[in-house]
Amino acid sequence: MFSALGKAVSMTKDMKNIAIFTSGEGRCAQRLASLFNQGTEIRVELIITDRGDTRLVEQMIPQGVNALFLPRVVWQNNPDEVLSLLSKNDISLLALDEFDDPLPEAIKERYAGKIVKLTSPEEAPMEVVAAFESEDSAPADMPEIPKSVDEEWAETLKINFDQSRATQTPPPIPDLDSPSPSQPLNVAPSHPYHPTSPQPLQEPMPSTYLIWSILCTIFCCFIPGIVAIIFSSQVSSKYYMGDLEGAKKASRNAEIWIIVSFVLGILTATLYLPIILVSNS
Amino acid sequence: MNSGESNVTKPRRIAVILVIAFAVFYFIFDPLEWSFMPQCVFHRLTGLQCAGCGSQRMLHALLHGDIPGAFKENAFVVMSLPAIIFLAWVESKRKTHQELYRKVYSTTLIIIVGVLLLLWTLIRNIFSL
Repeated sequence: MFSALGKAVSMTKDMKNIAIFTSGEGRCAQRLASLFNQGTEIRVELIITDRGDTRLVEQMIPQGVNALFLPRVVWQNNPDEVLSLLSKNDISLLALDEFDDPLPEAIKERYAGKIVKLTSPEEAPMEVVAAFESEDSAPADMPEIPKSVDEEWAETLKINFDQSRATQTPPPIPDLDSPSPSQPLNVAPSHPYHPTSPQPLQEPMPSTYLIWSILCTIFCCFIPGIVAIIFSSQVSSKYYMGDLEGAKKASRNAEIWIIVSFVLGILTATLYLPIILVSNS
Repeated sequence: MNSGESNVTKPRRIAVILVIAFAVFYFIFDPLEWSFMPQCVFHRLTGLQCAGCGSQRMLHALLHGDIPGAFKENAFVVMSLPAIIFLAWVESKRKTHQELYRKVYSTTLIIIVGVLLLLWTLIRNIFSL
């Protein structure tokens, strides 16, 4: 492990490889790849998405960027696989482009001070360059200090950015939010942008579709509507138990039963007129 | 990101248009007079009243300002309308107000909603409300 790390550090002298983690469309990633991969010393080497959407991967592979999809299960249960992937590609900086998953502690530890949160495609190249500069100037044994300063800047930028576009969802901060008690605190606890309320999970809760379940129960068809409500309740109960995949499954099931109820309601509504006409004549 | 913005406002616009269209429809047509108004499948098959039976007549009465009439048709749905509107509002804020969404759509609330709907079905069939 340490030899790989040493190799990665020595590689940064001549080549600076970035890995971009994304949960969204990867617009920052695309911008960075098109900008940097033209022969500059910084290179987008690896793009990892945790969404099953393959469009980004299909776009990036022809450009010579190693892009792949890693499901959440791998992130959460097997961070070593991610780490080995990173060291295999000599990654020296991690960039988070709307990345929703909490970063595994092992990755946070290994890349302490080398993680940058991208705020927008316009700002992203500057942020990456700034991150490399602060990394170069920092002593190797205390990477946290430039990290937190950098993070604060990113945060400030993000807040300014958000205020102008209030409807947009701010991506959850995957880093620094809730250091687990078992982990040594290598991050200043008095982070100025620390969220105050503890969250059971950082991933947003999948929609329970309860409102649609209720409306379909009342206005469309009773029995599938009740089934949908049962699945809705499973979404939140499974979410609070930490079973994200189960919550998503329940959410999908609720959706299916809402559609069943709705279709039955619509069918009766549209079939009713011909039936009435036939029975009257 | 402009696409994110339009993703939020577009469904909202569609929802508003749909609500207005339904309101106009149920204002004009009295389900008791017009034979083409759809009837509840559950009621057709079982002869029992479901939790939502009578809500079309209720909507018509409510849109004409006939609150006692609306209560007569389906008292439960009339009383839960404010709650439904509130829940719809929270649902529309799901992406931006995650904390609020999680607090409102707790497991207990969803179970209470389900139990209330079933209880109302039971009560209205026993006491023929």
